[in-house]
Amino acid sequence: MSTYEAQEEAAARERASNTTQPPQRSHETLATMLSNLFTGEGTRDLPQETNLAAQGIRLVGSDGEEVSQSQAQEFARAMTLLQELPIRDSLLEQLSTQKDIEGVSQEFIDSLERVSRKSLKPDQTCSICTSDFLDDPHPLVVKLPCEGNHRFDLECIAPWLKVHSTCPLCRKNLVEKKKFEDLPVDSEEEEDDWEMYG
Amino acid sequence: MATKRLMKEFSLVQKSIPSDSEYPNILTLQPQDTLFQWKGTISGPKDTPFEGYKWGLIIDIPHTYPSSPPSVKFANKICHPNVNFQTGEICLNILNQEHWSPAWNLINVIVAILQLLGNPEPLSPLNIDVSNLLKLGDMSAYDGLIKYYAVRYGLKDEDGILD
Repeated sequence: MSTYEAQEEAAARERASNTTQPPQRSHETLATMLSNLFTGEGTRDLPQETNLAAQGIRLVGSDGEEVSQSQAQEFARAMTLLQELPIRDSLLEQLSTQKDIEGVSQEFIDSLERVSRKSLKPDQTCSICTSDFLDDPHPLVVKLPCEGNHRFDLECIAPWLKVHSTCPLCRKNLVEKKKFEDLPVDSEEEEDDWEMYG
Repeated sequence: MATKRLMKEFSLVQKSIPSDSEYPNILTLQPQDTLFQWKGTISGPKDTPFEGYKWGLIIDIPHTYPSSPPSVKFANKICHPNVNFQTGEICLNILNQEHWSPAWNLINVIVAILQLLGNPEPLSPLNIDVSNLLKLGDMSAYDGLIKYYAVRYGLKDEDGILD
């Protein structure tokens, strides 16, 4: 009896090791493929990538249902498309813009008052790029509507103002605070009050 | 934009570190393989429990610099209420996107970190144990714990400069 059980156990173990081996390998292939997809810099040639993806889907198919050649190719094409999309960049961008920091509109940036070359002095610098304004033969300098009328190269201040509405030097908020005036009256709350008396 | 500005900062740093007496506690500050990775060495400011020891700083600069702040952390372990003991991460408001200003440069950031060593902020702790000592006002325990870790992980003044 005991020998039979031992045999049966050994056989089961062997079966288990046999059946787990192929899926493990296919997982590995898929995992490396996916990691390549997200860490790669897009310098590898694409046909190889497509083959790898097709191979991956064939391996997945081998331990389950049959996957047709066309399906595998479709998957591979989707994978290469996915790689070409700047997913990482767009995700990062979303993360950085989701914070409650809000910049000014493009119209605001466009309407900033320009400073003529004549009124710039040789020692005046843009505190963002730390270059003298007059180093540039055609300086495009703007002044912000803060108390100090701080001056910056338009090229330098524009990317900052797109995500922040403050002057980099004095931190004055350049956008009027409309938030409190714009708050709508909560009509539901009012109705609740009426119900109490009604 | 970022590269040009970092080039300017590099020449400014070469001029003022370590000769400028205005920054006696910044011992070294130099770019590594690229202008976007810097390392620095600071010495503990006078009249703080950090005095007499040195710490390395690792500075990573984003490609959006100076619109975004650099990220700075300690290279060797330091016991401070606003520094993560394990990772060296620093809790300093000007290192956040929200409080950063593109008008600041790397020297300003390191000066701010030196200020933080002498003026810890126990209300936003990254090291709760030493922060609690400060909150309770047990200054001898606070100084003692900092010095214990400074002896253990800080570099002594006679040691070479971190690279």
